[in-house]
Amino acid sequence: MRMVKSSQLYVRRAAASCSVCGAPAVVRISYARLDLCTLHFREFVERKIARILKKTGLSRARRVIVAVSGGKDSAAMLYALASMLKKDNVELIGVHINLGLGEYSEESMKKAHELCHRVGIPCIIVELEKVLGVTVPELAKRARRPTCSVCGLVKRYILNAVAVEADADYVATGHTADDIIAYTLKEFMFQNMDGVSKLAPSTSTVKGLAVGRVRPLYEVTERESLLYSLINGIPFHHSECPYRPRAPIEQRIKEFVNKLEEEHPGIKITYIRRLERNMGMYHSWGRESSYGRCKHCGLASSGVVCGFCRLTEKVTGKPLGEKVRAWIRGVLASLRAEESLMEVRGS
Amino acid sequence: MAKDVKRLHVVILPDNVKKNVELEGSRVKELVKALGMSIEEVVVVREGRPLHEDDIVEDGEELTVIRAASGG
Ligand SMILES: [Zn+2]
Ligand SMILES: [Zn+2]
Repeated sequence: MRMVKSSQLYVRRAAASCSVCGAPAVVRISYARLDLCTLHFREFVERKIARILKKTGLSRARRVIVAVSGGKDSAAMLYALASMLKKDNVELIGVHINLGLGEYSEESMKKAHELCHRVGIPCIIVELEKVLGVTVPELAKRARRPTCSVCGLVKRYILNAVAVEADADYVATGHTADDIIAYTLKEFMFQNMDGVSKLAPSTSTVKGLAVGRVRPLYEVTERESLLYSLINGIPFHHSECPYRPRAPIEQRIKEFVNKLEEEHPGIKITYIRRLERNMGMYHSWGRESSYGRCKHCGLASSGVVCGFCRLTEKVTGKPLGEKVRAWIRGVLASLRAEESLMEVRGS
Repeated sequence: MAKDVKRLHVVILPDNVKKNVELEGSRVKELVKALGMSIEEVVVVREGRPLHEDDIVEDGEELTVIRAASGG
């Protein structure tokens, strides 16, 4: 009874109406001077994603590895990619890495699995404890390195390894405009132009060594990705990582930039678009990155041994890159076998 | 004077912090401000439905404020 009453009130009292169609608006996009209903908000977000897909050539890719953390940003990205790329015949493969961060990782894994199932794509779940025998916190502790840097290294390595083994054209990650702004402002503060140049909407592939990155949410803010997930009923796990430092610089920058955006609507999108435009310049200012091949696992490395093989050798006595690659080959083979079985059944 | 004050029960996610707010305004954006947050970093939800920043809040109701910022 009360439910019905309050939702009637809600419709009648919607304070703003959609600038496009006049339906009740759910959001104001101040910088674009728009109020949008759920339908037109969805279109607004997907238009921004479409720009990046076109620019990076993602819609012409054959196969894309999609990094699915279980959180809202990668969830919004996968949902959008699955619906937007359906007509283009791009094969999407979801990859989730269970880092072994306790309850947080278990919940994230459940949501990642649920989401891949919902959008109808295969999901490769890499459980570190099962594949390597160690979790991220154990690796970090035994190597005496900060958990976040070990976590980043492990994620980058595994995503790239899956993409190389699957012969994918791209790895798509759910970094939002807010992430890109925070990371680049931090790099500017430390005058690390090489770091800035790596945060373009896409990075290039080095055949057989490293697969390029693409960031479809480059122009989509975190608030937009949250709202997109909510209105589309996309499953995600909303929680902070328990190992996150108390006040990471990126977090502080985000808070500051959002205050700035409130006072000066449009400053974030202006920054992001100009950053995109100037990426070539930052790239030329950066170090010339020449990739070699890790002598243990054969993947991209700046030295003789890659960071992942160095870390795992230090902790377990053996470099584990090749072991990870072999495990991935096995999973991909059984995935292919399953698919051809389904095709046989389907026909 | 006390007539214009709205008592709201707010749940903040993902922290899962519960707060009772006495709001001297009537709009969603005023609630966000009263919580010391920026409208750019949250989505306010009523019974599962996202609210517009200009929507009117009602005395005694329960609202969920979802923070958009995530660590990574
Ligand atoms: Zn509309
Ligand atoms: Zn290696």
